[in-house]
Amino acid sequence: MVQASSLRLLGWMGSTIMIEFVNVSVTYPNDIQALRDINLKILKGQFVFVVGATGTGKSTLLKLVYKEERPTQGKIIVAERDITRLRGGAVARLRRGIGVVFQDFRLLPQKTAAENVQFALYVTGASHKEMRVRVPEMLELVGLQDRPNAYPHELSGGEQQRISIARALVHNPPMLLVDEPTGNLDQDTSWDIIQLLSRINARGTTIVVVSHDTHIVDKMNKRVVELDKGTIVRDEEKGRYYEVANP
Amino acid sequence: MRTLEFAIKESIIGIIRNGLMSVASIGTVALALVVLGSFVLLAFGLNNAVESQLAKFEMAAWMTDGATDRQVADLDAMIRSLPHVKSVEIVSAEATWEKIKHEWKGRVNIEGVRPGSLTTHFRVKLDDPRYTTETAKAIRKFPRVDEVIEAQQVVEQVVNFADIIKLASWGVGGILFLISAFIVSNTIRLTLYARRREIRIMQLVGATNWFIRLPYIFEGVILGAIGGGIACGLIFGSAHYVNEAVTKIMPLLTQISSGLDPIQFNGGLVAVGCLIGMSGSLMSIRKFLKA
Repeated sequence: MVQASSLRLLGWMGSTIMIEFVNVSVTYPNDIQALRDINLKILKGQFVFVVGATGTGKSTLLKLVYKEERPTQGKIIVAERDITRLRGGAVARLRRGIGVVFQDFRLLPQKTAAENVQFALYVTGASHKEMRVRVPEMLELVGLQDRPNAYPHELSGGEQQRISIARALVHNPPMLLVDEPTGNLDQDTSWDIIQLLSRINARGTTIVVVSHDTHIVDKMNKRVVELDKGTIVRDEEKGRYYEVANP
Repeated sequence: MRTLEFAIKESIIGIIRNGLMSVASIGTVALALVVLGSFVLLAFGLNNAVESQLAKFEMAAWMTDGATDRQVADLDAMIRSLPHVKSVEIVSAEATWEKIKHEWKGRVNIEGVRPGSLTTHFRVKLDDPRYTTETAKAIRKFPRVDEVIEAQQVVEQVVNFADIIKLASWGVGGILFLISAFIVSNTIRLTLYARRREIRIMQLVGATNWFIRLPYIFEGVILGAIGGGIACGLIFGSAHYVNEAVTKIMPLLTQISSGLDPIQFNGGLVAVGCLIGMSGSLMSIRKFLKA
């Protein structure tokens, strides 16, 4: 039971929801249902793992948030804004508020570490001054301040992933979507990356990680959302990769 | 400012990187515009020639050979008696021949042409060109009249010819426009393909569609503009020779000149070139960069 006074306090507070799915379904033209009636709230500042077998719609879930995919049904609210029908320039502005990190890093091979980070600022019309300040700041955050002039092929997988995280954070987005960040990395490096994400989360950034990595999910003991055949079959605070029957 | 700087830099890099395909694009645009430009020049030139050369007199009545002075005087009186005749000028065969020799010697080969086919003729001007056909008909019925040449007929023929050329230039120009735009779009597609990673990342980090597209539009426009410039050069360089050739075939059109302002004409060609390039870019962008 909530007391009347605290109820009023809750009503007065701003929204605590960062991402919300309301009855979202995605059906592909060939009648395959990628997602089915998804209802999900991800709160500001949360660290959420999305787990499940390949092809259960985990990546589609992320793509819906940064508008790489459109829902066939339902609506998606990001930072209190219905993004279901956004178009053109509004999509571009939405994406500046969402950092995205991929398994394959997606770095530009002919650009250095610093240039890769700077590119995200450059192509969104940031000033030179902003770039001079933000790029070293981000490299320091991910621990690569000593190697700004290294090209991606001169860096290890873990270092490349750090660069891609730095790039994703360069616009200072309130949320970071991470798609299989450790799929290409060995276990120790993977753990380092997750620790980095954890530190970023501690600074207040909401983080959603799609992962296959049972070891990491279990060790982190954060909220776990499990998908199976396009529906949410489990949503646990402090969960593990596999459901534990009555711990 | 940033957008422009980025777009220009990237588009030039794209053109250089595509090398041969850029050259091919510029070449086809230039070819299309040379053909289009030549047609336009020819059509305007014919129109102009008609107006300046032929409209000076309304008709010429040529007498049969060996007419006596008496017969010439009679015919003169008869023509003058017709309604709407403003003035009649009698030109002797000798005078005509002298004039032809004076005007055309060295320009048209008249050696060996004997003035035998020339006879005395009347230059008849009317007060109203609408009665040309009627008056010509009346003159033809007079004795000792061999042939009446109506400027109107010639004018109409040449104007019709010019119309056909204009129509053809639209048709041929349209087809060439499409072909060259298609070649440009293929070139742009190469750049888009080479840049697909950059484009993906630009989309992900929130670059606007215009920011992403502008370099490719610029690339097409630059290719088109260079093609247009080359076409201007080719047409300008060959104009003299074309003029000479035309004079040989149709001496009447010796002073062929389109009467077009060269700045307007060349500017127009380059503008059409830019348009071709832009259409080509948009074709590719539409296909490969859906928002």
